[in-house]
Amino acid sequence: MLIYVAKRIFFIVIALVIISLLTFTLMQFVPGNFLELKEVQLRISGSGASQELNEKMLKDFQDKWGLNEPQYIQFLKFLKGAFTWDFGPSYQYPDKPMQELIMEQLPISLKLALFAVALALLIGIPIGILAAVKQNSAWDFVPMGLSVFAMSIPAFIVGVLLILLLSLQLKWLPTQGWGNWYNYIIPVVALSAGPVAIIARYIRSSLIEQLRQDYVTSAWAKGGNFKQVVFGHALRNSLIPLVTIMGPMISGLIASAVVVEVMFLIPGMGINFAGAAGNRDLPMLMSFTFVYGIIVMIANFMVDIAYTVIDPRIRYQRTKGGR
Amino acid sequence: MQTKSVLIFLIVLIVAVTMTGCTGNSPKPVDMSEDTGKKEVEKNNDSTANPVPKEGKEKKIGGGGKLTMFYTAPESLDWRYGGWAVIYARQLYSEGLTRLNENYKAIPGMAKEWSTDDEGKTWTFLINEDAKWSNGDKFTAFDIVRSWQHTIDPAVWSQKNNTPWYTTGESEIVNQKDIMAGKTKPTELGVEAKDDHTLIVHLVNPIMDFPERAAMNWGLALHSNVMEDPDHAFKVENIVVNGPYKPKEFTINEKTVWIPNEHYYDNVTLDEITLKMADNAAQTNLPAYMNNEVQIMQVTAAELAAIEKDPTLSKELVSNTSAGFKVLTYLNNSPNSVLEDPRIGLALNMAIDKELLAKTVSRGTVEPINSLIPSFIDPNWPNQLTYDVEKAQQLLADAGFPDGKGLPTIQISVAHGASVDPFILGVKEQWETNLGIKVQVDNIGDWGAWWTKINNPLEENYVGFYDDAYTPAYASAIPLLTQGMDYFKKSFSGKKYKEFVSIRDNKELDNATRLQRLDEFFLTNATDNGRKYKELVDQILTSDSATKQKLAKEADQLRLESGLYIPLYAWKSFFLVKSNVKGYIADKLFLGKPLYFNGITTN
Repeated sequence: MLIYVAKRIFFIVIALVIISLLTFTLMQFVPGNFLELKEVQLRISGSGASQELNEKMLKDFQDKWGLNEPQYIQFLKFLKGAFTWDFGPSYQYPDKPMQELIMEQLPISLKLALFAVALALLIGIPIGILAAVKQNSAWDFVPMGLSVFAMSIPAFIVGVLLILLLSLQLKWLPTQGWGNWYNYIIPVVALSAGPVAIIARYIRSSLIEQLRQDYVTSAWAKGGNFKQVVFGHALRNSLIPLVTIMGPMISGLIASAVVVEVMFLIPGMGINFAGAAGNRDLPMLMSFTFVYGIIVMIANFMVDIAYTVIDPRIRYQRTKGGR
Repeated sequence: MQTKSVLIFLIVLIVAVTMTGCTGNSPKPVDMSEDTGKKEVEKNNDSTANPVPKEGKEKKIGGGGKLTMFYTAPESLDWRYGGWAVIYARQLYSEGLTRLNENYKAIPGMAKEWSTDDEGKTWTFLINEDAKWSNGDKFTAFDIVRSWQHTIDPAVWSQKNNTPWYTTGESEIVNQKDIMAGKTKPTELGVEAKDDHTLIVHLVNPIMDFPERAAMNWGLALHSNVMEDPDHAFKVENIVVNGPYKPKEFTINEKTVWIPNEHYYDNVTLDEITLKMADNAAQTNLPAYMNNEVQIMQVTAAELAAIEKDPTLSKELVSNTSAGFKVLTYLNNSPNSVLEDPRIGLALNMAIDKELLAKTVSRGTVEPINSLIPSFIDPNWPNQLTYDVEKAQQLLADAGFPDGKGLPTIQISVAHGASVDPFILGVKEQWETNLGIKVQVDNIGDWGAWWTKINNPLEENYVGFYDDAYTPAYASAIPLLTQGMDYFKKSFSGKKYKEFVSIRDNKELDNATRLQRLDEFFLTNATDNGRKYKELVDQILTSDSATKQKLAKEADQLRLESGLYIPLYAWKSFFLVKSNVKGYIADKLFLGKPLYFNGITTN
């Protein structure tokens, strides 16, 4: 197991280097830079600086961020900073090291995504169980029908509908903001609507399949009650496919959270991440990509570990195979 | 109301265009006539921006209620970085020698009075004895000297990705240029404190509206703790300010909260101001306004039509014509010189019915302009090119392209993302209809790719204009001649563009040499009119006020008649303002945002 964990960590490190290299390389080919954008903005806002000043500013800017150095040196410096948790400042916030900004914003983004996952599990699993055990009844058709809608509608549309209902019609909740418990409700529900539907459908189909297995029939035949048979035997096995999709689901949620953060003005990483490429803020884009990469890979890694807990066969095979 | 609100909100959601605009109050002309003789000490008691306490009455701190509005989020509170921080500083927490009233005339700030010599080159400011910093420190003339010396220091501003010292437009404070170039020490700047209350500023060239210019961003004051402990001076808990408000809370990308500075020398109206980050992409701003979470919000073009139909919201809609304007600028990076004949550019200019486009396709969200000097600065500016199709057709025929035959496809290069400005599409239609030419709107969605394209040599068959925009830094025509739309540097032939780029991008040359070579290039290759324009601009810098205006009009006429610039429209800004909000004065130089927050009440 330890060797397996060590190997996975090694591959995570390799993957992070590759992701960073790809991002860095792509950004080298993207036309325009941060200062040019600033020049356009200055002119539009009426603060046009003379060419002489811009030349000097550009030179100082390049010196400060080491942009005159060969690109491989720039990349290696980024890697060194990333693995020692010292990204340096971004162009947009030159007096704030990126790691400080990340540590302010990451917990907010994580909270949002994790609450959404928790809510999705809390609602999705019972609905799936109910639909499976009451198959072909209204308890099955209604939630499964609704789940098609929930899966089809993006989180931001769900958010808009919730605002219409809970903010503008009922006046119960604010439309945006962060910091109070009630600020979580609309974004978390919006974000979790799709996953709730997916989880419910997975659990339903998986549980139905398990309930038809011989071992379940044997359990009924042995006189097992509903709780013992469904929860003790069938449900545990039906969770395996759910765990399979949890990795991609968490990754998807983190991506959706960017949109939801922008929409509800939540001061997580999403707003800056969404703007970093457009602003040509290379340090910010690189460091956020790195951190998002870590989160996604750790989520997948934990899902794989969870597999071994839920399915002893996987644990056995890995141990037996020496992995 | 609820059903209507829902309908409005749904309509707004469907429309994804996020363009600002506005209608409304006709702009008040700024008086450009200036005294040329001895200007006695001015005592400006104009109190429109901020009511000064009457003699014998106690100043009043707060009591005007709380304000919450959407506003663009600053990157930090360190306004030396420029950007939105400096806008926050000017409107809220920092003050220079003067402020501006709604007619953009100087009113007392840290200075209570000012005077100048005969030439307008030396200015004396008397500092208000009651002026203090938020920690109770006395504000003195030395604070201004220290602040300006600090912000002009290249060692400071070049580390901030910023050039704060764009200062006075056509003039400089003595030694300013050399200090910025690193040739002279900041302490040599031509500003001196005679004593705690007397400040003297020495300018290189005369400017009679220097007090107005001193109210802008560059003239703001910094407390000495910025020089002593720059890493911590702008933290909320440490910041010392001299403006009417001080920060209570600052969260990046969320909000800033402001409370009165009880040491401010004047009345402070609002008890608390919360500026929530505004992001049009959020699309939840209007619902938040409708839900009474904010009292002021800027309206996008997508939201406007629905708001105008709503009986409640339409009453709360206010608009202003901004000083900012849109121009089509000639792409002189094309080796094809066909558009260098000014008659073609003039024909194109006169073939656009801007009134019609503003009313129809832009739905009143813009104000048509026929001049390169916005009517906000001077509604009677003489150089105007109005819609005249017959004359346009004649000009085109005279240039050798009767009915547009033989003219290559005219490109309009824009970076408008998913949705092209409808006005631009209207221009294309009118050029094709009125002149019989072919036009293509080349929308390069990404601004970086667009910027690269318009600043590097184009292929032979690519001729046309690019979408450009300007906002004057001051309520004056002069900076629009000296800083923006420099016809002299634009007038050289596109056939020389590669040569220009070879100098501009030559990394082997040091900065000074490259700039010198570029100057030589422009002088050698500019057209006769381009050179004449430069001579006029050079004369403007050293002239008295009356002559300045005369020369500015001459220079502007040369520029407009070159056909290289086609003015299209001025922006309008639209805001929703709750009926309990009083004293909101829109800054026309700044997209209708508040000129100052102090003076607003919400009771």
